[in-house]
Amino acid sequence: MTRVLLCASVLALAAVQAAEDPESLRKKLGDVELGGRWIYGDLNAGFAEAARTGKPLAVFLRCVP
Amino acid sequence: MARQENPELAAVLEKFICVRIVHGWGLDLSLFQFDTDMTLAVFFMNADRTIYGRYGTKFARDTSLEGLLYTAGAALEVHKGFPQNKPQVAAKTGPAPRWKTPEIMPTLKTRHEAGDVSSYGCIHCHTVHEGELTSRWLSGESIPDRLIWKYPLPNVVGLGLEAKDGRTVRTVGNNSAAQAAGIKPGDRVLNVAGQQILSVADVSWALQQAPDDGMLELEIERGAARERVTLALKNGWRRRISVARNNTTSMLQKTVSGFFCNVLSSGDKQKLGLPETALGLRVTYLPAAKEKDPNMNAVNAGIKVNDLIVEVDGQRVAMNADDWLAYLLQKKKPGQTLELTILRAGAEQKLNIPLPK
Repeated sequence: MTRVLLCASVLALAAVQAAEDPESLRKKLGDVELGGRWIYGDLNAGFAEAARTGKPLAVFLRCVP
Repeated sequence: MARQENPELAAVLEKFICVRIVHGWGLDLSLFQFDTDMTLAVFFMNADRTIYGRYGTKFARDTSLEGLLYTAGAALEVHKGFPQNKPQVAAKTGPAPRWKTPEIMPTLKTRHEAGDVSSYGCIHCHTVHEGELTSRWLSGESIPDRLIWKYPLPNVVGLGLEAKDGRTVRTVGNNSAAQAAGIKPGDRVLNVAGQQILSVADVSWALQQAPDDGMLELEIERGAARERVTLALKNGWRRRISVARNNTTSMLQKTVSGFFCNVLSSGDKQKLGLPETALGLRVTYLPAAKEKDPNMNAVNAGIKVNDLIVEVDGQRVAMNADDWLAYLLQKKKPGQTLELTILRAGAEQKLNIPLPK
C-alpha cells in the first residue's frame, strides 16, 4: 500500500530541543536505521550544503500527531 | 521502533539535500508558508531559497508514496531548468509574513519566553496559525476569509485532482467554477496563476493567493493541445468547504469565546422542539482553573457545560460551526461583550461574556 505513512519511514517529525545532538535525536525519533543523509533542524546548514553540492533541498516538516 | 526507509524514496532523496525541521519555534515564516493543519509538508527548494514546489495537504488522501515520488521528480526537473525557469516558480514564495517567526507573535511570545511547549518539546504546527489569528484579532485587525478558510483544496473550485500527480483532473464538481470554465475530466492542470504545478499542495497554494472576488487563470493540457481557462471566483468562494473541524479553528473558538461548543444537529433540535432555523450551540468544554487558561471570562460569567446557547447578541438564527467561528473573529472585537441567552434546565437566562482584550 503506497499510501504513506509516509514513507513511512522517513518522516516522523517529532520535536525535540533544537540543541540536541543528531545521534540522540535520531534515536528519539526512531530513525536509527536511516541513512545519514538527514540534517536535523539546521536549515542554514542545508542551504550551505545545497550550494556546495549543487543539489536542491527537500525540507520536511511534520506535526506531531 | 526503528524506521526503515523505502528504497525507491531513498534513491530519489539521494538527489536532494534533506532537512528535517524539528522545532516550530524559530520557523522562518517568510519561507515556510503552508497549511499548518497538515499532516506532512515538504518544500522542494533551491539553495538560493527559491521554492520549486510543495507537497502535502491536510488530508491524507492527498498523500502517497507515489505522489511524493512524482513531486520530487518534478522538482528535480525544475532544478535542471533553473534559473531560466525562475519566473514560473517565483510566486511560490509568499508575501512577507505579518510576523517572521512564531515566537514574536504577541499571543505566542509569552509562551515562548516561559519555555512553554505543547508536545515533545515543540509547539504544534497548527499553533502557529492559531497564534497568528489570535494575535491579529487581539490587535483589532480585521480577519479576512483567506485567513480562516485557508489553503483551499482544489475541490473548493470543483477540481478533483489525482493525488499521484496533483495535475490530472479526475472529477469536475457540478455548478463549480471549474465546470463553468469548461474544465473536463482527463485534463491536466499545468499552471495556476502562472505557477508551474507539481502537486495538489501547489494548487492549494495558488488558491490561497487567489482573489476573494476575481478571476484565476489556469493553463491546462487536453490531449495534445494547451488551453488557457479562467475560473470566476465569487465572493465567499472559500467557504464552500468547512474548516470547523480543523485543529486551528477549534482552538480559536475557545481562545476568543472562552469555551468550546458544538452545533446542535437537526435531530437534536427536533427532540427539543426547536425549529431547524433556530440557533443551537451546546457548550461542551470550559477551561478548569488549574489550566491557567488566559481566557476564563466565560467561566467567570457563569456559563456551564451543557448549557444550550439559543441567542447571540439578539440573534436567534441558526449558525453552523463555520458561521460561529466567523462571527467571533469577523464580527466581534476585543473587549466587546458576547450577549448570550442560554437554555438551562428548561429555562432561559441571560449571560454576558466579556471578550479578551
